[in-house]
Amino acid sequence: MSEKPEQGALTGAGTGGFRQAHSWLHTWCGLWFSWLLFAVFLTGTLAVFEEPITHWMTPEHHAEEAAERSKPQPTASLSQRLAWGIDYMREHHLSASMWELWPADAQGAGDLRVYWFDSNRQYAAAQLSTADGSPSQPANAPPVRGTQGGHHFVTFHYELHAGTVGLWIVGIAALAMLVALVSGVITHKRIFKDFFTFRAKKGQRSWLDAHNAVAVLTLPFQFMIAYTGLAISASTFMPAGIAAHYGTQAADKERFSAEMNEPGKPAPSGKPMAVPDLEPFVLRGQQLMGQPVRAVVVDHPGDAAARIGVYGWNDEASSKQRLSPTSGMAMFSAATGEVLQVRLPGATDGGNATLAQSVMGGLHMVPFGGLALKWLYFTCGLMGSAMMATGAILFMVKRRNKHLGEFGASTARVYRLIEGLNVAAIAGLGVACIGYLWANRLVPLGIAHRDDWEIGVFFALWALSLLHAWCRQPKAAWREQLGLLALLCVLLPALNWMTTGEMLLTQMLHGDWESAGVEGVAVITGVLAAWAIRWQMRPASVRLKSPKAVAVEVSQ
Amino acid sequence: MSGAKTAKRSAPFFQRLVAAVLGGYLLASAWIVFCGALSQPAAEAVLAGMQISFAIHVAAIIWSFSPVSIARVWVGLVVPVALLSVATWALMQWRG
Repeated sequence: MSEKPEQGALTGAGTGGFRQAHSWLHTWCGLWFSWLLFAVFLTGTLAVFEEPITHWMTPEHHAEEAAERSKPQPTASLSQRLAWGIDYMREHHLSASMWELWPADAQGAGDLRVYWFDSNRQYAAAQLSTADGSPSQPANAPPVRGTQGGHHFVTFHYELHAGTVGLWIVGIAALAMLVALVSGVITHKRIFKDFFTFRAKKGQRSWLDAHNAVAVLTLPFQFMIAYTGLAISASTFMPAGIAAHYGTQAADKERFSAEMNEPGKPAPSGKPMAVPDLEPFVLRGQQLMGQPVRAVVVDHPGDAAARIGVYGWNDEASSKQRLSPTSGMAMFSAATGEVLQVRLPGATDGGNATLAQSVMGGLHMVPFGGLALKWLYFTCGLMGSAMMATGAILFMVKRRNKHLGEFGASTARVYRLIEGLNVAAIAGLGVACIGYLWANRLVPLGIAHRDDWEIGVFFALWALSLLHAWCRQPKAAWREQLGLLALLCVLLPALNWMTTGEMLLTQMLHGDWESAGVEGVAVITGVLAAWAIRWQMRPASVRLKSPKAVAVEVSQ
Repeated sequence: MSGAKTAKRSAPFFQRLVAAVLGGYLLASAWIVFCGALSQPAAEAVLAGMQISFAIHVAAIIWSFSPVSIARVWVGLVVPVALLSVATWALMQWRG
C-alpha cells in the first residue's frame, strides 16, 4: 500500500495524491464501520434462510407439518370457504374496519384464515376449520415454544432490535460501506490483476490478497445489496422531498403514498349496507388478473362505500422469473360491482419509479429465483462478510509488524482496543448466533416472554465475548472464542437429539431438508472454525514461507 | 507528534467530516426537492429522486475527502445546492 507511515488517523484526510487520500479514507472508514457491517452482513446472510431457521426453532410443528404433507385434509370448495369466512366475520367482528379472508392456497386446498383490525387498530387473526367452518384454534394463542425464529436475524440486520434508531445506525453504516467500496476501488488500481493474485503463506500479503479477491469477486453484489438496502427505507433516510412537496404530518405522507399506489380508501358513507356474497367478486377478480385468489380484503364492511379487493397467488414458476414480486389485484366497489382498479402480476400501481422501488426491494430480499438464488445470495453474503473481516484483521496484522503511531502516545492502547473489537465482532458474533440456536433448545418452555430471553442470550454472549477479548491476549482470545464457536456448532445436532429426539440422519431420511440444512451448515462452520484454530496454532515458520522475504516485500 | 501540532493538523479532518455528512446530505436533499418540482403530481419524481440521492451523497463524501482544500470542498457542495434551489424555486414559480 502506498500510505505513508506518518499519516495519522486524523491527519491523513485529504492529503497526498488522489489515490493516497482515498486509501486513507478506505482504511479508516472501513475500519470504524467494519465491525458493525460484519454483524449486519452476517445476520443478513443468515436471514436469507429465515424460514428454515424458524422451522428448526419450532420443533413442535415438525410432526404436524409431516402429517399435512403425507395426507391431504378433506377440503371444502372455494365458495363454501368464502361463505364460512364471511359468516364468522359477521358474527364476531361486525364492527371491524377491515376484513381480510385467505380462503385457500393456490390449489384451492390448505388453511382458511381470516384477519381483521380490532378495536385498537391492531391486526388480529383466526383460523377456521376447512371441514365445518368453525374456529378450529385461536390463531393468536401463544405457541408452545415462544420464539422469533429466523426473523430475529432479519430484524437485527436492518434495525438491531432498536426500532428507528437502529434503522438509522444501519443506514449510516450502509452509506459508509458504499464510501468504503468506492474508495477501495480507487485505491486498488490493479483491481483486475489483484483478483487473480493470491500469495499464500505470506502473512500480511496473504490477508491483503484474500481481502482483494473476495471484494472484487462480489463487488457488484455488495454495491447492489447496500444500495437497495438504503433505497428500501429511502423515505425515512431522505424525507426532504416529501416534506417540501407534501408536508411533514402523517396525513401528508399518506397523501404521498396514495398518489403513487392507489386511489386511496374511500371514506365511509355512513349508510349501512350488508357485505354482498363474495364469490362473484372473487371469480371476476381471478379472471381479470389471471391468478387464483390468495386474499379478499373488504374495506369498511357494512357500509355502502365498502370496497372489495381480490389479490392473487404468484405461482412458483412465475415468481422465479420475475424481479418485481407483486401479485395480481382487482378492486371493486361493493355496492355497484364496478371495477375500480386492476393490477397484473409483477406490475405496480404507479409509474417507473414505483416499479424500480419494487424491483429494488425484490433484489434485496430475493423472493424470486428459488433455492438456487438463495444459495447464491448466501455465498455472496458470506464472501462480503469475509471482506469486512479480512479488512479489519489486515489493519491489525499490518500494524503488528510495524507500529504506525497514528494515535500518538495512546497508539498501543488503541491498537489493543481494535484487536479486542476484531475478535468479538468476528468470532464473538459467531458464538452469539449459534448460541441463539442453543438458547432455543435450553430456555425453559413455559417462561414468560420466552422469545426475548432467546434474543437476550444472543446479546449477552456477544457482550461477554467483547469483555473476554479485552481481558485475554489477542492470540488466546481468538483461539478460545473460535474454539467455543467450533464446539457449539459441531455439537448442535447432538443438542437437538438430546432435547427433541430428532437426529440429523433421520431428518434427511424423512426429507426434512430444512432442519438438516441448518444442522449441516452449523457442522461445516464448526469444522472450519476448528481448522482456523489449527492454522493459527502452527508455528510461524510453517504458517509463513519466510518472514524475512515477506518483510522485504511489505516494505516496498 | 506533539499534542498541539496534532490538534492543529487534525482540524481539517473534522471540517471534512462535517462537509461530507452535512454538506452531502444537504446536496442529496436539495436534489430530491428539485426532482419533486419537475412534475405534477410529484410523488413518482420524488421517489425517483430519493432512489438516486444515495449515489449523490456517496459522491459528495468522496469529494469531501479528496486532496483539495477545504474551501474548494465547500464550493463544490454549496454551488450545486444553490443551483438546485434556484431551479426548484423557478419551476415552482412557473407552475404557480
